[in-house]
Amino acid sequence: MTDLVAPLGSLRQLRAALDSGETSSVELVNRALARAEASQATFQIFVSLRPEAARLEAEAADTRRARGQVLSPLDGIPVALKDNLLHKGDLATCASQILAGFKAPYNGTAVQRLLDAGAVVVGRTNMDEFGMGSSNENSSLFPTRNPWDAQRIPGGSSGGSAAAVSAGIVPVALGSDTGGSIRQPAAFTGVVGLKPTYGRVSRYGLVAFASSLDQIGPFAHTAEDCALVLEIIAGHDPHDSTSLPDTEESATHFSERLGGSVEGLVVGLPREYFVEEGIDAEVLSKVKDAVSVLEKAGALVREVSLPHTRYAIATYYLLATAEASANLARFDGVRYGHRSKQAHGLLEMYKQTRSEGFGKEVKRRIMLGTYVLSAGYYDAYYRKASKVRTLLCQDFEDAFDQCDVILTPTAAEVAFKLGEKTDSALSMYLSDVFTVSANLAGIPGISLPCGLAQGMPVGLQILARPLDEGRLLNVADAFQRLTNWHEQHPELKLGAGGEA
Amino acid sequence: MRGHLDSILDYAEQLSELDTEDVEVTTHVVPVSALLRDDIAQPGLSNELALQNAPASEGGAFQVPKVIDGEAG
Repeated sequence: MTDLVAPLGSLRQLRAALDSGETSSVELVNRALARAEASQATFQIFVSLRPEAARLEAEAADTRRARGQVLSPLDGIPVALKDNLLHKGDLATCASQILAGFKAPYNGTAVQRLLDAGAVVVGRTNMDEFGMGSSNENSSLFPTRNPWDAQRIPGGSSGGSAAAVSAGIVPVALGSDTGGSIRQPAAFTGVVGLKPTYGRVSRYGLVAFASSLDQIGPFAHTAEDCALVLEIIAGHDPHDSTSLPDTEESATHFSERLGGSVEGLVVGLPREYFVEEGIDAEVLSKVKDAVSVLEKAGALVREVSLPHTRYAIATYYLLATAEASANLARFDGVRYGHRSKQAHGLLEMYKQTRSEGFGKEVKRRIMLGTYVLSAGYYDAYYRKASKVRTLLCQDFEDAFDQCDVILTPTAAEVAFKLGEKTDSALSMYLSDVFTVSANLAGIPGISLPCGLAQGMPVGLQILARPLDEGRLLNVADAFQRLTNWHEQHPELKLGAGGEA
Repeated sequence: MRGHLDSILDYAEQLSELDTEDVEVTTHVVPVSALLRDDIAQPGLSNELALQNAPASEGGAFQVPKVIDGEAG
């Protein structure tokens, strides 16, 4: 057992230390790299690091600061990117063998905005291959371990980004959320993870999994830090026709508007989510405690109903696999990525390339998606699910007529052990039950730590109306001013199999 | 693999319980049809950048295995 170099802390803390001259960007980046390297053998959080480039960029940030030309609250701050976000000249593999060696030819918009703000990318984080998984066990490289307990998964698919913040390596990381891939790993690792409204953040330069569901968002230790990152990465982008226009209503000064009280806020608890059956009793009790915290601070709590919740998982997996099967058709060994060396002729090359390059779960979803889109089954599966999606959207519209925000557990249990759910694809899918509806309806959701159960973090999920991130962040921020769960961090331990 | 797929499709069967006869489909949650950018040519990727990840290229083009020569492509 070895104690690692000290964790970095929150964005707010690091900004203060930079502003006071107590530290420099070079020092922060060096510490982030040292901690990333020291934890790699046990926790395997990163798929690649870029020490030389990051140090040079940190020097430039320090020079700017010395001249009084600080670009933004993120200037000189070390950050990490999920391996499906394009960062020009750097690898972008989606933790898949089919993209081994792929170098991004341009910057994704969210990445470009971070770079324009002066953020220093130290490395790329592990993920379930192409975002398909809830545990990080579907990475083709290695499974990332949970910083709280190396025997457990960090969640997925953005498990590496969540773990990088949880382990105190970086104060901020970007992930993507198609069915809970930011919120669930945030819950499992005790950090804050925000999935913005669909269209809030441009998807240009995010490798597509399911285009009508994917959304980029930040991980950080606090709602305030997430607000700062969101206002940098959000906004219309002509490169993504689904990115929302910039309007008055979408004004993005989230961080300036924090600090409000929850007095009079109407909190809805969907009765379909607060069932004894299927939720760990300790998790349920921590989430109920969190509701009481807000109630004592003046929030009004009422029961609401999202009657079609039980159909959400089936709807999600039919639509997400259909979209994935179309999106992943591009990986054919012609323009980029792996090409089979075994094949003779074009058709055989396509087949061999895809057989060799994709992992088991990705193949499963491509087959399922192709099947549900096929002529004889399109109406029964894809079209049916697209209609049920309308019912799920309607559920939220009706519920938000009666409340301002909806509170739920983020996950039904704490982080599970490696291998616990790999025997059944269906049981892995069912673990997304509380998160997929927000993607189907396009609404924003956040997960924040609200306690510990069996020594592992529990996540509280807050959902709001489309474009209501301002309120979402305010409620999360208010909760964090009333509690200190976000200040509890894992003590990283090294050793064979993660044993202390 | 087959067993996994069967169990997932069996699970998805529950959607048939719902009467969706009069329900519209939702394929996108935001209205996006009006968001076309101005029709002005923008610079694209250079030939070099477009080819940098190609498994095989020649003369500024992607190279693929033979598609005629006995094998219908």
